[in-house]
Amino acid sequence: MVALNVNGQQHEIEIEPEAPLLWAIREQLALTGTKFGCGVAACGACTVHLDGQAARSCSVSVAAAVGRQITTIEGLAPNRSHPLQQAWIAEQVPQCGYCQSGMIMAAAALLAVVPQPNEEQIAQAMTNICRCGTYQRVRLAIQRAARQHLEQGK
Amino acid sequence: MTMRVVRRVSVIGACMMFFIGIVTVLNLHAQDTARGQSAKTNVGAALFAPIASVLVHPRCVNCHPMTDYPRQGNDRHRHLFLVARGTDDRGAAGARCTLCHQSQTQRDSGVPGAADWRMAPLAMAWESEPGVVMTAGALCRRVLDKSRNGGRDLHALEEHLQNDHFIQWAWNPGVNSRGQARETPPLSHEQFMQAVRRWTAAGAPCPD
Repeated sequence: MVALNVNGQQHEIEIEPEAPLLWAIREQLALTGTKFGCGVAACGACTVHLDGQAARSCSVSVAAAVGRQITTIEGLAPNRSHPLQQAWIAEQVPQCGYCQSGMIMAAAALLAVVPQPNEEQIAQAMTNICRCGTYQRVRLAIQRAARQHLEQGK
Repeated sequence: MTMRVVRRVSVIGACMMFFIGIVTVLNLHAQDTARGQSAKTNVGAALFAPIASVLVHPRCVNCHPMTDYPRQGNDRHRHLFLVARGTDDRGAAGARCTLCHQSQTQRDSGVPGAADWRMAPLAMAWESEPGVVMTAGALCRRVLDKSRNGGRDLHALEEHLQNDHFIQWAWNPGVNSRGQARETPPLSHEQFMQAVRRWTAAGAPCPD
């Protein structure tokens, strides 16, 4: 048995320690918002947060996640109220949608440390791949969320 | 008058002989020095060559570039996804090296890993231009330069090369994303350390 803290809840699951965290999240815990894309940390569809930092869960062993705070798209905010989720809807970012939870998790990790990112910072942080090519709208949504953060701070 | 001339000629001759002697001695000394320097350089070339063969291997030099991004693979291509060095050699804000690189190489994805995965600082770059590794001589001097090598003397360098977990990773790099074993440096770590010890015992001479 392996103990994992996912979205603030402690879980005991039966899984081999070397298995990717993504399997535990999707198969054992049925949190299917996190997607399997490439399996080699190249696409970012499986992005979650480990202790607040973005991590590609297909390339994190379960053992490496023990004792850390794991956050998936389901735990990002109650009622999908995270400014990025709101901005994603406002900018109508998704097309097929498959990569979008990973995109949002990557963007959330960026805004947590750089609340007002410039274009270069967005480009450097958003290394996720979208086969629909929604990159422009992703960037607009991140900028919208950043503006909202600024306005709320006033 | 004649005697005076003869005496003067003799004095001048003696002076010239003395001068020629001095010049010859100095010249021979210079040749000896050059020969000694050249011999030292040759020794340096011989002793440092096996060390350089490891340092310029992609497993090592890919994270010792002079650029603001790392390289990947045996062909040393720019790291995919336009990965950036960042201000602390650990990636950009929101896309840290640890986004993908965990504390161990991953069994299923093959993504390389070691604790605190990061790039070597720019001061420790081993390229003469982007994508081109330094000559052995330049590399040797760079490695020895205490202002760039973390203040390490020869003993500390040996210790670092022996025990650093990143360096050890190069000999245990796992498999790539296609499941193929990654190439390791041309010498084993043990052979590498033997070469390092021979080099430091000789005073760490550098090739030209």
